[in-house]
Amino acid sequence: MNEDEQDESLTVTKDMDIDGSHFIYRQITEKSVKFLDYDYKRCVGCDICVAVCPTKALELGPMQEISTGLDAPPITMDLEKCTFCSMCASFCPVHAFVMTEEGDFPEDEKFPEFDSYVKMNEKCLPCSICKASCPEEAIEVEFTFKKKEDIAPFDENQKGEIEIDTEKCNFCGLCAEFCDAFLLIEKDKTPTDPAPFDLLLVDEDKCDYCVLCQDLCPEEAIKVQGERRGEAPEIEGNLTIDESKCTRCTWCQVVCPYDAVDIKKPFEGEIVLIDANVDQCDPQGCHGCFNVCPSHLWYVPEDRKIAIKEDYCTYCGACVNACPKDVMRVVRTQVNHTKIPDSPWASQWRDAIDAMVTSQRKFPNISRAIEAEPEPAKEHVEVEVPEIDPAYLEAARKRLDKAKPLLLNAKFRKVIESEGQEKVSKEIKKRLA
Amino acid sequence: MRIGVYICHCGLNIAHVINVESLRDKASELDGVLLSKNIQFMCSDSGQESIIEDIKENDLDRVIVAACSPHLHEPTFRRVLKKAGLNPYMLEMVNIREQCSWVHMDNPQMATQKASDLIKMGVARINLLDPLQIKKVPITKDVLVIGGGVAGIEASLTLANSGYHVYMVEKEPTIGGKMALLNEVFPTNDCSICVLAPKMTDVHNHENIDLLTMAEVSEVEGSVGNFQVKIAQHPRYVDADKCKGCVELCGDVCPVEIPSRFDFGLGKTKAINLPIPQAVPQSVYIDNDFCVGCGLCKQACPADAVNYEQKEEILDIKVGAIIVTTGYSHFDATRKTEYGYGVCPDVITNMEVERLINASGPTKGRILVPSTKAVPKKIAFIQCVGSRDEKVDNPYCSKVCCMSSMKNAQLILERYPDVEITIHYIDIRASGEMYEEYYIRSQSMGINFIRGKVAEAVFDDKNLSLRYEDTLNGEICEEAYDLVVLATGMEAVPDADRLSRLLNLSRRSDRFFAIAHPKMRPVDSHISGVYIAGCASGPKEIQVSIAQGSATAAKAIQLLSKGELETDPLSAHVKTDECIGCGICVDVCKFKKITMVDKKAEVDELSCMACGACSASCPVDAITMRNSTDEQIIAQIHAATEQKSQYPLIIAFLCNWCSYTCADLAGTSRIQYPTNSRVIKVMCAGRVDPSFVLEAFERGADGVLVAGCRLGECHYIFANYNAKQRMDALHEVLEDIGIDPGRLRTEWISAAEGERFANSMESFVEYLEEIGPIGSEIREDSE
Repeated sequence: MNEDEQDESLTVTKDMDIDGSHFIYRQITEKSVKFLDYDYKRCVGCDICVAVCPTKALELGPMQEISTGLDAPPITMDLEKCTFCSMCASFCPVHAFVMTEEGDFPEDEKFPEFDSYVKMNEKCLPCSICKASCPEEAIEVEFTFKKKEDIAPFDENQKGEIEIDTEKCNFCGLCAEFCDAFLLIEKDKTPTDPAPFDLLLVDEDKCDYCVLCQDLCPEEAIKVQGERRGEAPEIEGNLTIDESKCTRCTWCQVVCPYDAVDIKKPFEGEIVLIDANVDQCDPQGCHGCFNVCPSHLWYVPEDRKIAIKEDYCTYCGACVNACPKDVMRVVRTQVNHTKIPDSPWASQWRDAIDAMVTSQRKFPNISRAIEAEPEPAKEHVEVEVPEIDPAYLEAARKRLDKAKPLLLNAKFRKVIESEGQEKVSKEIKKRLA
Repeated sequence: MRIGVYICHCGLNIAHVINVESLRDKASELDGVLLSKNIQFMCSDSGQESIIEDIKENDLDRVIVAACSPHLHEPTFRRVLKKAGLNPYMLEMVNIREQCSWVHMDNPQMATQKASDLIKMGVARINLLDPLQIKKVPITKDVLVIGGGVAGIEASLTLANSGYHVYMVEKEPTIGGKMALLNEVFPTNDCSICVLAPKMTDVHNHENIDLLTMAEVSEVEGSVGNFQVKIAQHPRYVDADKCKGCVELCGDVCPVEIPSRFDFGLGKTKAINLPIPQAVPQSVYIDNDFCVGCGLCKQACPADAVNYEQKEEILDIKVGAIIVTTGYSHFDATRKTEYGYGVCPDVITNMEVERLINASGPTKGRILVPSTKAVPKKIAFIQCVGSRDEKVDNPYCSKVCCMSSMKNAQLILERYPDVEITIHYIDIRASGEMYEEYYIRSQSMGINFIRGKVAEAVFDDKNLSLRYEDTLNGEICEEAYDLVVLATGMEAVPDADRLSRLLNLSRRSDRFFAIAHPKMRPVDSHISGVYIAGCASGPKEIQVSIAQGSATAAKAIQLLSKGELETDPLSAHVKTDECIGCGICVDVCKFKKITMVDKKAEVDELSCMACGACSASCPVDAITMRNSTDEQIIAQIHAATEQKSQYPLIIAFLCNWCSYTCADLAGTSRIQYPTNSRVIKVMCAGRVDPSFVLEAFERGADGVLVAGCRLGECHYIFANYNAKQRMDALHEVLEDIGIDPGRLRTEWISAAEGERFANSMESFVEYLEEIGPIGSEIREDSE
């Protein structure tokens, strides 16, 4: 490169920083910065990122040890090889890899990503169940209706009765949101019983029998005898899913009594337990799959060593990597993704998406390339100027002065052009004499 | 009808055997004949003049010339008619020399009778001739060149410099083909790219050439003079006009390393790269197989030339001629498993050694053993890898590898004088100008030549040796080498199937494109308006590719220079009213010149090859071949059998290209055979409608001969297969109805087999004499 080009050239530097459980890889140029944030505590070791990486920059660590307690990052990255393409971030099912960028880069729409969502449809009230049930705490609900205190302030002099019909109550928790007199008791959530609450109590000291809760309850499970004061509000609120936390584990859909949750998972696939190996499984001692599974679908039933709630599975395969006994088999049959736009990188992204199903990735084969050391430049040695007595040249010049006028003579020139050897010799001798 | 019959003596060639006066008298009695004359030498100036005078004085409207073969003088007499003011197609030539007087010298009486019959057939035909008009159609003068290698470059420059507009379509990001990748070329050892690059630049800068790289032809419709072509241009993702070719700026920041295709995997490059340093156009491209979308190249480019938004573009163009210069591809040396290519890293191919020696290659011109990176001390070349080898289905010789290996050996020796080089060969082919001298020089430089096949390469992690035969010593030897170079041969491009289908080109058994005639038409394809140059039609060296490139340009200029094309009046024509829309003809025409329009067949008369296969397949005779109509042929059959002048009588349908020429050859060779045949010339054996054969038998012919080109060598490529199928079917029919099927004989004969034609005639006559006249076999059965 010449000097001008060196001024115009772009410098690319990469570095790594550690912040708590986050490994932050940076790629910096004069015109841009990319941050690839890897939270190793979120990572489940499914190794999908390893499958999609175009330059084999990612490597899976010892998942069997990590899933049973070893504090080490499941994924290690060779920063030299990383192209900061963001395939790992786009396809990580648990958002352990997150890419942010500033500067001149192609828009996000030019790259494919998972076509997967969790959406609440019109049947959603909203209520408190899914938020409490979500094992990743990815659901936030903001209730916007007026509370009991704002409509009918507490009047300790009121008398009445209140009864909850336990057959009808589905523990939606709206009454507890509405009025402080209600106490919703949480319980342990399990894959087979994901419901977050199992008991609703009324603190009669705080109840003034305003009847508003009876009107509010969507299941008509509360019976109040008392004086109705005011009007129960319409149930309304805003429900948001934190996409950086949601793993599409399906718990919300299973637990919702109103069939209000629509889910599209990122993968279609299959998970089966290999019966022959289930005998070898040691769920109490090992517990690896339990620890890594982002859908929390593993449990120990009464009659078998280990079991799965298949509905929750997102086919990430983390359990397979964690299991030392090959107890389960996970197969992805399809990737749900957005359309791959026409672009120079479409082929590689398509191959990355296919690799999540086939585990075969198209890598450029540079194994035959010969890298040769450049030959060192030859050293230039100055030549030695010869020393010659100038008197020699002087003498020669004097003699040459005799010949020069000869050539100016036209007759002589004619002789040497056309005459034979003898005549030329005669002429020369004649003139030089 | 005012017919003039002229009987040529041809000196004594005809007159010695045939009684020309009697012929003249007989001819004058025929219907429509106004005058009948003898002339010594019809083709002479005076002979021609006398015809013209007669035409004018007697107001003749058609002329029969009974003389030599029409292959010799038909154009001459057509010109005579034109000069006299008559339509040149109102001429009938009757062959009474090559196919009569020269071959029946021992039977003058019968020869005269045969000649008279032939003239009678001629008169019958001439009565039905149409004054055909040559049609002129306007054409486009632009030319499409497919393939930007040295042959295509030469063709394009010749055309462009002659004022013709050229579209050059090249599928790689740069033109130059294989020649641009070579190091030095034999026999001058010129630097390959140095002599090619100026031409490449000329192509890029020429105002008459539209260069389209990363493009492929996706559709071709139309025909000679008016091809409509669709070209798909793939995106380079870089604006070639803006790219300055600085490449280090974008290449340095690209994080994806890929093997360099142009270094055959021995070199590395990036996903954004300049294919070769001298690439034309001088612009990088993004290899969309490997780009991951990091976005750095766009940031790095100071000229803002990177454009991720580029999309594939389809261009529609119209051209008058197409030149195919798609080149060759290399034999895949992994197929010769015994040599260990792809397994042992120190076994490489000749193209790979070219790239190593090349100063722009991966090692910047140093020869290094791949496994040790050291300079080799002993190098072996193995010739004929993938050529002259039935086992890999390549029986042909690839022509350039002997010279190429010698050249590489010479260059290595010049750079590393201490290296020991051995070339293991089967035959050394050094057949061009100064090639043998090059071979001698190679030997005198100390390169060893060992004749014998190399059985296998024996290798492990550290050692490599070859087990080979030395035929001069008669020994089996094993020798260790540091580097083994396989001289791999040429093969047809993998795209050849698709190109064949696009352009309707046929391919030889060696899978290269077939040319129209291996000797006489080296750059014409079978398709009118499509020419082939360079290695697309078979292995050849650069000098020949360049010559062929120029030749195709000249052919294209010849075709297009007048700006219009004359239609051959011998094309097929559908009588739309009679057509029943069965569509049989559409399938029969392998040139795809017939389509159904509104449920009636329509022929593209401009490009129709005029073989007649369609006409013979039509069940209602709705397709007529102008100048070879069903009526004309039937009239000839009737005339020949009106008076059965000889027993057995054979009606012989001979195809214009092979069998008729073959019969002529028998004549020029003076091979004698019986007089029993009466010849009807058709353009192709595929013209012979089975109904003609039955008509001949019905009229009393004892035998019918249908002769065409050898199967696989038909002038119209496929039509003699149509003929064979029909005649085979007819054989069965004859057998079923009780007529001896041996009465119908088919011969597939080349124009060079005069002796065979004569023998065939003899044996046919013998056979027919044995079985008796037509119908005798039925009477015998019923008795």
